[in-house]
Amino acid sequence: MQLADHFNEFLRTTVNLGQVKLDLLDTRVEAIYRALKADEEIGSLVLGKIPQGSWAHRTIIDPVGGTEFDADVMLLMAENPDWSQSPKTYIEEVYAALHRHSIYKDMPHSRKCRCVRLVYSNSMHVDIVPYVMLVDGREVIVNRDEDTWENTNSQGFSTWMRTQDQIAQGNLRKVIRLMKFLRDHKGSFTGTRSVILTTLLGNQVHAYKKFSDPGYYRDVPTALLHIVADLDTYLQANEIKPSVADPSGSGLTFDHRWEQNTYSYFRDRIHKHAAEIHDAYHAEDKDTSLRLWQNLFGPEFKAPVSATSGSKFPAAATTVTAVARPGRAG
Amino acid sequence: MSGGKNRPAPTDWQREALAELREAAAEQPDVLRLVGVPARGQNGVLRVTLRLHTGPLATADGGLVLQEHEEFVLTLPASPLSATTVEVEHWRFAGYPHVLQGRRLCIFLDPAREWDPLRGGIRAYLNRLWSWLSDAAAGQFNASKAMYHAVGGVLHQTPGTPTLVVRVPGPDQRIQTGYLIARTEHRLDLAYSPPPEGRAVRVPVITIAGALPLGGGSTFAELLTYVDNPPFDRQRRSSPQAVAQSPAILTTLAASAARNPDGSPQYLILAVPHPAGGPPNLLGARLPAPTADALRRMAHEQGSALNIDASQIRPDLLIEWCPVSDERPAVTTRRDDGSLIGGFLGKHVHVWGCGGLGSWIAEFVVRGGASQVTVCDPGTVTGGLLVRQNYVEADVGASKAQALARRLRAVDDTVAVHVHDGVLPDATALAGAEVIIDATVSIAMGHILDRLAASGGRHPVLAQVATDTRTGTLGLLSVSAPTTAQGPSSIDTAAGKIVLADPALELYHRLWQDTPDGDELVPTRGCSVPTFHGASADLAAVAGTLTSLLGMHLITPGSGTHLIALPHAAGSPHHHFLAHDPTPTTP
Repeated sequence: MQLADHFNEFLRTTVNLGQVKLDLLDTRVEAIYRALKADEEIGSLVLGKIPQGSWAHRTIIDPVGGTEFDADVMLLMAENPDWSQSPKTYIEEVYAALHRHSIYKDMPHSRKCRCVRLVYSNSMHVDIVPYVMLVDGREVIVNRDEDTWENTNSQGFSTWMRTQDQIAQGNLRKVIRLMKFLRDHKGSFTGTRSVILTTLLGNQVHAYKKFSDPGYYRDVPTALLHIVADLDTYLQANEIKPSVADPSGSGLTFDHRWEQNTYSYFRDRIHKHAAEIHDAYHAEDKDTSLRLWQNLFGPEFKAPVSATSGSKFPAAATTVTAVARPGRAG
Repeated sequence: MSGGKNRPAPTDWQREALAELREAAAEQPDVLRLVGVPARGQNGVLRVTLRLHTGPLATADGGLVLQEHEEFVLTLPASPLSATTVEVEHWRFAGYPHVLQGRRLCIFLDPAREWDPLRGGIRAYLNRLWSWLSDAAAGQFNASKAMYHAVGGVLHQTPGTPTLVVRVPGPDQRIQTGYLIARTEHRLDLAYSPPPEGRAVRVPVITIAGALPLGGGSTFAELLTYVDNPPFDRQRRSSPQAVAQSPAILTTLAASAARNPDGSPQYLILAVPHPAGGPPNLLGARLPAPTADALRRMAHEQGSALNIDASQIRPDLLIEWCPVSDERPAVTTRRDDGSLIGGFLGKHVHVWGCGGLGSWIAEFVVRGGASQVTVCDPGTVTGGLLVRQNYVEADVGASKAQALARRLRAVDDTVAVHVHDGVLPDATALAGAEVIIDATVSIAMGHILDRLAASGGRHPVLAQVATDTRTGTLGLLSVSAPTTAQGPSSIDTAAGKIVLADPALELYHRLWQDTPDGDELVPTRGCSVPTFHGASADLAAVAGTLTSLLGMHLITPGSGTHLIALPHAAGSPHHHFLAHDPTPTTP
């Protein structure tokens, strides 16, 4: 059985990063942006901010235990000709601006290869990625280790994600979250970065699949079944690690830190998960299906809590409370 | 005789609900108390005051500020068919999302689907109220999704008033002249320039400074009060009062009324800023003719020195609210958003053949948002066709194409409909087509489309549709994508070979086989052309499904053949797609 209601509940209560944390991220990124914009040294260069990564693409999940969750934000900066010989100056100057700030100077902040990281005390950090549109038209970020520019396409990935998610009827992002949950919380296929997992899953989504089955991505379990099965087919056809191109069209690939052994492990695990998902989805008996889904996702995969249990004013034993708003129309 | 003796006794439902409330209060006296004696109200309702211990509810920045205890008045209707309502007797909640007219809490978004008096009863209602308070205190409500939040959370509508249709974006200016153009006795369309043919009434469109959390009121004076200085603001306001807007509204209204005929009502459109930002909410109001005439007199008497004191407006002058059909693109999401038919949005579609399938398909395409539709058919409407084609009695004797065009224009007056009474549109019309749907079941027409596909380069999406002769419950759609050199007829022929060789698709074999005796009917004695069996319900369903499937090909190019069967067709599968994989042409 598909148990679509269980999936909705599982995503809501267990997988998704809560709205409060998302709002907190929003607020903090806005505050950082305002602070950098107001900085006397670099404020005039700060032109805008563009959310990036899983936060922006709505594939972020609640981290395991006390692990930090994070937000990537691209800081659009005007090109400064004085820094043209040393792109890493952009990272150094953003770092220095935080260092000058009355609040952020006392918070842990550090320089990474492509960003400045600001760490909050309650399990989150924000990666600020300087991003410049050069006069020659290139969109670039900084590689501080090599003191060079790297091409990027800030909107391309977001556009690709939005397109693929629309084809999958809004279920691709949920499937990605579920698979990240398996990786992070169930310890499956560790070592495969989120951007690779996201790209591989997104690449499986094709509009033409709906010619044969218009409901190919109709709900979360069906989309999960088909996307993972299609990914499995692709991986089984590629014993040797394939290159994973940035779907934004930047010309970059994501696989430079993806080793063959990590890939092989990922390939085997996806093969196993595809079979598990198939069996759980197609089990005709509800108890069997639930058991199989729980074998995959854990005991938190369960039926939505009814309005009667745990309510402030419990109904008498003989009465049943109606569902909140049944999914029907007329 | 005391008035109380005439009041009806509480109904069984009210007694039951009251008993449940008392029982719940007895179980959790620290959480819930009933205050005072239930009071009888109009229409047999029973009003019960509750006190809830709301102090422990978690609060968040921006959430509803609750006191340690809050009192609520539940209104129990006489019958469980109506939902119970709940309100507060203060203005502290006014302006918060899902608070209606400042006091009533919006517990149900859709009472029809959420209110179930027989399952869970009043305890379920208490739980909804508690959840509402929890979410409100925690700041969980999304202001942009609260219905009519800008205007007190309620629909403004007075029975008998016409609907104002707004399709163009609102004005940038605070005050702008609009024109209401009568379309029917129920409908007036708003325009911002006078129609060339005249016959429009002037209406001021006024953007006010802030939201109307209490709504627009029921009298003219009340509206002006709410615009200038809502009652809850009088309690809250510590800063100097904003500039009153009512003088400008009155002056503009009177000036507009003076330009409209005596004895006619005066309309007013208020653009009300939404607390969550974005386009303003539009309210349509109407002053009855006597009030409008009074304004006209003032305008004529005072001339350019027109200045009306809002305090002189009689408090009993009623204002009527007109429903607004707000179709501005910035605030309206099409109800078919995300569905397959969305592929037709903005497209120029040809429908060749306006019969059992074509007539419905043309209608569905127009409802799907096509910008232009070209229809052609050489036939005329006869009475027998009304059984299953979408023509009406008045069409009998008319050209099918012309009759269908009338219907399409009636469905959507923004679509451009082109009509050809022949079998084919002319070459000029063909040039603009993005989609051609051949619903003629004509072999010769199939050859024409095949030639079009083979003519080189991109061509319109070409489609051919048909149903079965025996039942009209099967559907066949062959599609040729813009870069496919084979037309739908060739694709259909190729699909037929596969279908006939597949026992699993036996249901569909008849679509490629000779018609057996009895599968057709002769509808009228003497009629020489046998036709198929089929009913309007089935043909509309087949046509609708084929239109949706074709819509998919307009979003994603692809060629092939769809086979469909309605659920009550004698067999399965109910859908099967045969992808067209043409053999590359060899030189």
